[in-house]
Amino acid sequence: MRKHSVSFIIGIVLVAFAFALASASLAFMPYDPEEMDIYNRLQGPSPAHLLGTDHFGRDILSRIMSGSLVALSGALASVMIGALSGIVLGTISALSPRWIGSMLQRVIDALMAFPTILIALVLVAIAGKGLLPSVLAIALAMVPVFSRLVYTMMLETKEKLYVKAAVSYGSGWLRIVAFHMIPSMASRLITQFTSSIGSAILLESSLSFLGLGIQPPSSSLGMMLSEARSYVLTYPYQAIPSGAVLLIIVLGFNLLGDGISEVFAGRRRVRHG
Amino acid sequence: MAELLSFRSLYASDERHAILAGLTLHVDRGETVAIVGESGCGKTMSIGALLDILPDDVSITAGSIAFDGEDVLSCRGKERKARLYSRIGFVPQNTSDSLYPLMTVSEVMTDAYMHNHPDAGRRQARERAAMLLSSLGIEDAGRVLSLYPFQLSGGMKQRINIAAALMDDIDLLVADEPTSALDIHIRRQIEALYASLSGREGLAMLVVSHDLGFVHSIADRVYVMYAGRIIEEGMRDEIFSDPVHPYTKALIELSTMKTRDRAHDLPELGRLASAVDRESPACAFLPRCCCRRESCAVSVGYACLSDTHLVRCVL
Amino acid sequence: MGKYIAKRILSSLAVMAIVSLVAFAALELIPGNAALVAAGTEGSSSAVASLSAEFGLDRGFGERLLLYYRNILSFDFGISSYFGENVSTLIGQRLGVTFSLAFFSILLAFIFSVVLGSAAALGKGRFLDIFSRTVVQIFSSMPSFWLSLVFLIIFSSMLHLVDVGDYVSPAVSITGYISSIILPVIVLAIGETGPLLRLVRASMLRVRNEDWYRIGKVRGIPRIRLMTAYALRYALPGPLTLAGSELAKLLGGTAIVESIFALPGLGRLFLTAVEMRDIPLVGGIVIFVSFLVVLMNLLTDLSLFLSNPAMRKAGGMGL
Repeated sequence: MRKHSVSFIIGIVLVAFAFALASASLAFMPYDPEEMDIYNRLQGPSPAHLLGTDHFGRDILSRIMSGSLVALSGALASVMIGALSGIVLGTISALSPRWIGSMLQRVIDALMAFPTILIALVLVAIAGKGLLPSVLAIALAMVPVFSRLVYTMMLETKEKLYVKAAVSYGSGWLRIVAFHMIPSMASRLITQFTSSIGSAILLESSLSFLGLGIQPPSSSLGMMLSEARSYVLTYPYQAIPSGAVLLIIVLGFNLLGDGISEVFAGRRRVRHG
Repeated sequence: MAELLSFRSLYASDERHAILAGLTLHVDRGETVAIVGESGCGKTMSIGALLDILPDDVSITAGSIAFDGEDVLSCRGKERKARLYSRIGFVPQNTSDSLYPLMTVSEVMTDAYMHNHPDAGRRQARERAAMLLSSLGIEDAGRVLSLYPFQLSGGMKQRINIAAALMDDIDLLVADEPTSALDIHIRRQIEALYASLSGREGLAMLVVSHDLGFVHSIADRVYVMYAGRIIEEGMRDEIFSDPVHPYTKALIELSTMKTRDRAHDLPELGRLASAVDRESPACAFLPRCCCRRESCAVSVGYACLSDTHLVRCVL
Repeated sequence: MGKYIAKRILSSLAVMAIVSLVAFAALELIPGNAALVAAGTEGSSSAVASLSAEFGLDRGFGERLLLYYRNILSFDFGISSYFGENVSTLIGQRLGVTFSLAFFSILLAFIFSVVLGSAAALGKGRFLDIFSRTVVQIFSSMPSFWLSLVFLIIFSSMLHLVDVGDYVSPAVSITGYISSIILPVIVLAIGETGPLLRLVRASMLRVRNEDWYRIGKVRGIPRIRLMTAYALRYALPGPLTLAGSELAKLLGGTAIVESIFALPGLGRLFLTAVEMRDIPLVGGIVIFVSFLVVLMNLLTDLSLFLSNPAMRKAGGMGL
């Protein structure tokens, strides 16, 4: 077996850091993230403001802390909704008559060929701006991947012996899906889930950056960058802290996803070889 | 007879265990030598070591290989290496991807030749390819040359691989399991083909196979390999009519059995690979041996039964 | 062979039909109708009524759907309610910019991925392999808008290498054109390199285990030739397909970069349309982009099909 997956370890550390930052914001923040202090605006790091202040004199560290809470919870919620709907859709298309399944998957094909941001934007156009619509939009953008994954894996496992055996014992479909199919697909689903959180955070921050996500005065990392954009040539520092934290969080989830799949692959190899 | 190729106590291992454990063998000019043994014993790896196509995680740790007096393993420099390898032909196992799928037979056969012979034109190379194909019993060579690999049968692919290996004027033909994955009819044809090749003047052959019937019909000399080393070697008749090592005996007995009786086959070595410590001084075959003695766990003795017949066993 | 092509074209048409139906349904869901938006807040009810008639909003659902399909087939996406111009004209004006961005960034990413991916596969587990994968992993975790900002800071405000200004058409000045799109092209290319590089590396790793590759090595085919004429040629269809579909995706996915670098492309047009609830424009762009996506995927598949002798003669793999 592989010694240890480096990606897994670094990923765990970064993700733990992100969760620590976000959950700490619930208990304690150095300042109120919405409190303005117009005399101390656009400051660099100092003992009073560890990461400086923004164009309204708000404490950047506090805003990052509350922003990462928004990013994490938003991403988790949307990936969960998206994954669940994708799993249901994939299951339906795998278990229903062939022609229905392949037609549903054709639609999924078409959706997958689209840029995710375009799908999200269309949904924002329908449902309007704000946190909830953007969560739904991201969830929608996540549906195709999960549905496709579940669909192909189910078609594979349907042919496997233990499933056929369960069918011959007269187990109901629901039971087979819940107790036999989903567990056997868990490793790939967990991997996909983890790396989808990374892309969901990216997508959420993109929507906020465009001003279509969560609305002021709440803060989100994408919105902070959007505000920093006006000062990019005069106060370039403004774009650094929030961007770096965003990078750390996304990188963490991407590495964790890779790491998990490496660990699972290692375990499989040991079992069969 | 002059020695053409020799392996001197070659050791190789991957990340976990030893694969070759002191492999020593030699091939004389014009001679046909076979290495026999179960899959997993390291016979394909020994070819890999010679041709520098070992898998990534396998490396040679000690020993040497010499081809016509030149040290193969330390041979550096593109030119010298190319010259060395242009004298060795290689026929791979008959797999579906042994021929490059996106080129015609003609391109596959002539590409390397034209690089090794810069002054030969495309036409000359193609003529040589056609000539070789018909010499191997392919009737409409011209048509075959313009086909793609997916249009060929297994036996045809195998013949094309042989012909491609013969494009250069080689001294040694190395073949890996030439009869595997062929049906009985084609197997006969390929067997006859190798028999005629083994008679060719100046062409030595090193054949790796677990098909003892095939080995019996073509080889001059036979090495029996087990767990990365040679356990018995001798002229063909010495091995087939007078085997000494219990393993050799078992192999020969198995090959003469009908398929139906093969249920009692020796357990495959692959499954035992981790159980066999290839570097231990004890006899590697000990766990499976029918007639072991206590001393076998300490060291292995050698016996010379004739100038050519050697066995690594105390019996 | 003809059968495969016909099948492939038919399935593309089916996907188009489904996608446009989904788009139609989605547009029906957008609150506020086009006539209201076009007439403005001051518009009289008679103005709204006449605009409704013009947009066909007063008719029944089935009739509207029919009208919608007829219009799509004649490339008539209606009049933008915000710009007051023909939607196809607006798209036509912006397409060049977006196409330049998408095409050059995919080209850049593809070349980079092929060179680096092959080199990484050859030296699997060595420095270049690990280094390139680490760097790509980090870069692809960066949001494109942040990368754009960082690029702006470094190349424009610190080094003064590139002038970020208005988009310059290549017909006016080639150098102006290049300097107006080079940063966004690089930003987009970095985003595309991640998946492409992974795929190239994986395909090349697989090739190294193919028998013909090892045999070619033994037969003395020079390494460079073996890498290019054999291995790459064999391994590229996968990455090429991906590049094709990514190119198509980018045609609808450049909104953020365009808005940061102030480029008048399709993406920014779409953002405006969403912002202004310009329903005909949103619909037109979605349909147009999906048309491009399907067409691009069809073209990549067909060209790969025609370049593979086995598939060509056998009449295609079972689809």
